[in-house]
Amino acid sequence: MSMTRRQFFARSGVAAAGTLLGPGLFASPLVGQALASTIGDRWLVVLFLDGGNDGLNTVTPVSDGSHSHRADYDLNRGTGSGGINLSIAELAGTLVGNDPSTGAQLALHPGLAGLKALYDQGWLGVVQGCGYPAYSLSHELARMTWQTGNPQGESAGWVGRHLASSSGGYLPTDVPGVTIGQRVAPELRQSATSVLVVDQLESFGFPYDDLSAAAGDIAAKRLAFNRLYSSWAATDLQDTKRFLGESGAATLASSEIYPQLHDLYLANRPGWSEQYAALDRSTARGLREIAKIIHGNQQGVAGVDARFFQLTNGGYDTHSNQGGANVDGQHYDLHREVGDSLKVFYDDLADMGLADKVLTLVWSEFSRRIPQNQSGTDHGSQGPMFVIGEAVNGGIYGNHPNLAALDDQENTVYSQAPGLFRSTDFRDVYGTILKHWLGMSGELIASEMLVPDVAHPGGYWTVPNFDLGFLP
Amino acid sequence: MIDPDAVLDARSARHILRRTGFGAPRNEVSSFTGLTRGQAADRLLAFPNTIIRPGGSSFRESHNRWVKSMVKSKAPLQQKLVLFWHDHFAVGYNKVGSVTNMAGYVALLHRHAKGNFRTLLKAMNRNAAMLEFLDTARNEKSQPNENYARELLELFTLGVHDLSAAGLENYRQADVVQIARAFTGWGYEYNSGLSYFEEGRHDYVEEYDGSPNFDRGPKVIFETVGGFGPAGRSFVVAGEGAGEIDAVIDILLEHLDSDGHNTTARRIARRLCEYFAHPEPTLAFVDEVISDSEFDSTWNCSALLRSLLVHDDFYATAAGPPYQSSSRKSVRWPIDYAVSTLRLLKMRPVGGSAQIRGGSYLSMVDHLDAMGQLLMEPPSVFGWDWETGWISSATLLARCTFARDVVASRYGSTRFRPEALIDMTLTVPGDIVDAVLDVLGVSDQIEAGERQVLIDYLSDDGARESLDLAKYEARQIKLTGLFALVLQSPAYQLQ
Amino acid sequence: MRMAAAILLVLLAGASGATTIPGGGSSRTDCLATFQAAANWPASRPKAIRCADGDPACDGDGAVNGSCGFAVSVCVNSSYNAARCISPGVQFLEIDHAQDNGDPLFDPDFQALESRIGAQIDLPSSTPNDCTSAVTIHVPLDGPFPGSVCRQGKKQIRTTTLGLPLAGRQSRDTDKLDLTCLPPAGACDPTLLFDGTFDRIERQIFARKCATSGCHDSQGQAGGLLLESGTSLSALLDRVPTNGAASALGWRRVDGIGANAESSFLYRKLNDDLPAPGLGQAMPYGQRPLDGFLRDLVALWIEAGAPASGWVAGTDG
Repeated sequence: MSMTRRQFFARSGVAAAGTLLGPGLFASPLVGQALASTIGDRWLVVLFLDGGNDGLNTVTPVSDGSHSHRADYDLNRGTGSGGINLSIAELAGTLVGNDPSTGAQLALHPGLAGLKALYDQGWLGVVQGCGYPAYSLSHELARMTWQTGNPQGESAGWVGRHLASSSGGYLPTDVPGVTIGQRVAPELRQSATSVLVVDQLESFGFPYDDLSAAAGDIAAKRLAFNRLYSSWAATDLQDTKRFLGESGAATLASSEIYPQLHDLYLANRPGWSEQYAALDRSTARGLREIAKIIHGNQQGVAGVDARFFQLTNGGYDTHSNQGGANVDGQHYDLHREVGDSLKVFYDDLADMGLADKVLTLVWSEFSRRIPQNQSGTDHGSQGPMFVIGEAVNGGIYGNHPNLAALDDQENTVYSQAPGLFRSTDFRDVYGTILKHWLGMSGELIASEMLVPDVAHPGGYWTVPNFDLGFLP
Repeated sequence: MIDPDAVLDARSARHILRRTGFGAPRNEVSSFTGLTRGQAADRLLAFPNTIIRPGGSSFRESHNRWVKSMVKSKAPLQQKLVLFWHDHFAVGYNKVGSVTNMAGYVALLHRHAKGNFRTLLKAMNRNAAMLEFLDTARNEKSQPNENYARELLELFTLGVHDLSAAGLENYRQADVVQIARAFTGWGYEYNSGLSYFEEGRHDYVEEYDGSPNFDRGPKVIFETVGGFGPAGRSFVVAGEGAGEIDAVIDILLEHLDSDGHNTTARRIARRLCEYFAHPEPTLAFVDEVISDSEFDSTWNCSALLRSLLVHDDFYATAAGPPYQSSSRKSVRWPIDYAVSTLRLLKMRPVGGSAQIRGGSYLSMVDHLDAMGQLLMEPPSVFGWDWETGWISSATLLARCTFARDVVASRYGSTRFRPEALIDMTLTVPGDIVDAVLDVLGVSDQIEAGERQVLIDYLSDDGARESLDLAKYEARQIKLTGLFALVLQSPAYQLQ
Repeated sequence: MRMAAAILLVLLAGASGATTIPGGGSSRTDCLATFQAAANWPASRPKAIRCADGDPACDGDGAVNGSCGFAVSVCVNSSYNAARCISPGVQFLEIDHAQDNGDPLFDPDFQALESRIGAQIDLPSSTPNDCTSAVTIHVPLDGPFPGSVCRQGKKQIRTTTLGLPLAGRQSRDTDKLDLTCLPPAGACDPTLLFDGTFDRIERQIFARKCATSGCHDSQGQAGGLLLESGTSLSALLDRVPTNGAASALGWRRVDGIGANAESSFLYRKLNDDLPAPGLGQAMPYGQRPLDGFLRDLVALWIEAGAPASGWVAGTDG
């Protein structure tokens, strides 16, 4: 009998927050340093392109190869008014490698010049044709599938399950994950440890009333808050009380330490800060906040040990006004934002000597349909993912989808069947990261993190491959 | 044990009010003190079934309307039950895609909140939002969809494993398949939310259209489990459609676990004990509540709840300090935290956007989202993660922000007005602290050391022996700060 | 809230000839958000756009194609009328009908505009004259009706903007911009507007009545049927309906082989001709039935064998 979802829940440690704690582990009101996590001295950044990024105008065929990739592309993507066709000439500056199976020359969208530079450095892995069987074209359902790593539905995120697992080994007092934005990213969700949500480190902090601030009452209030929570953290008889106490003390500490990282970064790296600012885009600002935390971490600031980050860039639901290679188009604008921001981020990391320690994964909940409508595209199936970092074995992984054989909905066919167009299950990408970046064993991943499809053999994801090769 | 005649002291009164409502307001505490447990339960359960149907032109509007109705509800226990059922029958707006149909679902929960569980299940079978959320609307004989059948068994009724010491399986995959067949053919009108049955899409026991492809034979379930014997139970009912899916519910409610107890009754009673009493109720507690209320035959939720509210184990969690590992504490849900705070402070969210006009000026929908409980948007069909699942640095800061915003609301008719809550002639720091704890309904949860921390805050570590609350600084800084501190304190995060 | 640091200020002027349109409301809060567009109506103080399809002066695509394209951008913290209005900064800006969540009035162009705001303004913003680049809002003509007649098409963009709280108060600005596409001078000839009969069905019927949010679009796919342009023909032509009663009757979604409208579930649904139990609801769902000439157009097309291109006789008027 296969494992039920409930068993899966219990085994993955999601529901077992209390049991991870032992008496006396809470030693100081400051955030405790994380127990040895398998991420070691590395970091993981997850960037979500919200809305369904058009993969075909992200990684585009320039030649046919042994198939008819370019011809099929031209057949479906129009030129002229509202057309989004990327011509061969327009793609000349952003050529990358060849499709592994057909040899077709591939190029990135001209807006992705920043990623092209990273590719030339050998720091970009492009994983083509990522999806899952019986894909959903609903934003919500597709998002949930990718964020949890489980098409069956599950409330903890795939990164969250790692944090809560024995490999993660985190306590409620640890803050291993930070979401840049307004609310906890579903990828990080779990109930064993804390996640921080930071929009801007500079204005982050404990929410004191402005009147108390003016009256100099903050120190008294802070002291009282800390004493209340610390007294609960010291309780060793009642699990819920201790969890709350530890979480509260950790939260207060983080709310005070994290804003300092802004000052530290600005003092040490003012020129780099300006480079992000010059892009004047939210992705650049978000990555700068992550760079500040990583820098603080590198500088050994006590109480900072966040190693998992998530941020989102929205606007990819380009039903209309998508644009092709014209710089005013919505898609060009978004690509330029992401490409340029990631380039600055990695230049900054390289200057810190950390470019080989930070891995960035870029994903979107689905791609877009092959034929275009009047000025945009509708929801479609599989699309490319990016993995970035000096540690990455740069190159092209996975196959370009076959644009000549479409399904009922004019979408490329997701299939795990061997051949020129075999799709990449996104869980293989996650699994490769969990195994090769986070040090989990393949057996553990397949049994507790990313459970293969069992119900439907054939085209389904039944044989995981957690060694896609983009990480050593 | 069941003891309806035990008399409530103030501590027990606060406990039952917090658990069955939104916080323990002072006047209610005094009127419940001295009642017997039975009298208190009867009074709480006497509410009329007010139907809230939070429609609107957008999700935000609908969400805010529901929250506002909770803030002013005269029957907080009804709202607490509605929230329980919302978590139990989790349905999310993003998939349903219709404010109207979500409102219909919320109205259904209100109608049956304390009613008959069998009736609630049968109504849920045909609710438009549920038909959409768990894909019954896409379940037809040519393309069966097992989603609803599986959750009906796993989450709404039996559970995967029974509660016996052996923890045996309650159903098999074959049972899911057969039940999914019974639910084929249902759809609903998007605009009105009315459900309908289309014979052409239904998988009949007998052949319908002469095509052998569709003949899957008679529907028989529970041949190996459930205490029905090797013949199991079949769906030979008077008419397909409503009659057949009602029959499925009736059969499920006869299912016995390996102890010979009613499987669904045990599971629902246990969930309610977890919700109202504490996270890990004993099986004896669950069974005593069922046998006292006869829930396994009447399915009367009101009776079940009354038995729960007169049981010793319900009050055990009210025990005061010093705490033992057995004194199970339970974390307030974000919606309970927010609504209790507004009710205890006699405040209201303002306008159609249900704004809190202080601090960050956020709408209730944004506050709750940040705290981790957007209503009508549970993270999955499993509902929310309760207890410590509510607590993270991010959500705790969101609670602290809400508390700050509430006391920073200084303008307009809905502002924070401490003078309406406590006696402003008090001067002794300890007295003021006690008054604030009393207003916020947590006097019984605060230990002496914590009370001293609050006094130290108010008196600046004893630097001032008395405060004149008529003065600006004492009122606007210290007293307001004290309110915020208690709302942000760990004790207030518990229910 | 701090003022934005001295960063490179990208000021994107919208389309050429664009003017600032405050959008209505109190003059004290009107600068929180404004539109930039080539307003031309009324002539004295223009605050809306009225444009004949194909008029190169105002229709962005410059072609007689049944639709006008208007370049519109949104600005916050405008210096417009600075004597009366000083923006405290903007916390929140929302465009009506920009969410693809089942809203029957959802408009992907509004979504595109809202996406631009998310990408380029990054709220909360205190940057003066913080603008998006221009987004093309397509306003289709209504029709064509029999006799090659069109009626004007309209869209209204509505925004709600909240200021950053200042001294305990929060200001609010609601703005509207009316966009009207007028029929071109002379007749409104379907053969100029559409490539053929099926293109006309896709654009005049499916796109406006069926592939709408929550229905037969890629999010909703009601009845497993997707009617967005580009996919609808393969989803229809000689396909067995998922509705068991219809398939039991031997119908197809569109019976192209039989070239028979009566055995085409699509036509039956549009014509509310559903005699057996279990055939479901008439279409368009919950709206008034299609005009008779449009239903005839579908019937003629099916009876001509449902061709993917070209004009079927009697469908080009």
